[in-house]
Amino acid sequence: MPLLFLSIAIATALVIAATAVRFALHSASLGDGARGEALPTAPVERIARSSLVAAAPLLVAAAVITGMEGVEAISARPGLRVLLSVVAMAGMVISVLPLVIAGQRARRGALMLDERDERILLAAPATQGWTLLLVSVASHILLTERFWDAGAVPLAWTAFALTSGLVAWAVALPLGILWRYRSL
Amino acid sequence: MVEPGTLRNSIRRLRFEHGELTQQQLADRVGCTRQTIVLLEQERYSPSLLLAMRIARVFGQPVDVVFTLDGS
Repeated sequence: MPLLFLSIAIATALVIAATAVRFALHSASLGDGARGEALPTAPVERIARSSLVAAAPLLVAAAVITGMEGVEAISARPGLRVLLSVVAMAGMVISVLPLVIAGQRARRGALMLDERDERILLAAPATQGWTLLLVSVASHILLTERFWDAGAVPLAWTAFALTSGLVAWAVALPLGILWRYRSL
Repeated sequence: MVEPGTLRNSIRRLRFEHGELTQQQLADRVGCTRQTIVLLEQERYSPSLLLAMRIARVFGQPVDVVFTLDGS
């Protein structure tokens, strides 16, 4: 059942991801925002939003499966463990890759990146740093309390904590960019 | 102690006085996004000196005519 659910979710996510990423990169070159908007959307802002939309199905699917099956049960099933790892990594890549590509396009002059965009992009990684710090602290406290009597944290849980931190770090980049576009 | 001031500008008025230049046209001429022009006109964003001078050059005005410091 989990594999079927995950397969459907992955297939759906891949279709959405491919469409959203192509749309994001294409629409960024068309200019920013439609007529009539109170505040037009900047190209980089649109790409960040599309990255999150594209990555969301994969990450939600991975989170739901993990919640349903449990960390230790997943660890005992190598196929499911590898599949979930791939899904999580794919979600991370989709969160970050369009923004990396946008940066390369901007350096070639193929994408408008003005001073405000550059200021926001320079500040955005700070969100990743804070997110990773908070997730690491939370994982440390939770795992320590959970396994204190056992004397050791099982490998499955340390792997889960690491993967969670990496996923949160990746998602924090587009989130940080979107937050700064509304606050700066 | 220097009192903080609010940066005001006349970009919207100057746009209309210069052949009803659109926000996008102004953005293209000074090398920024339309979103930045909108925020400038709403006085929610302070431009760099370079951007301010580029905007002033488009309107053929000194920078301190296009941008003024209010409340200082």
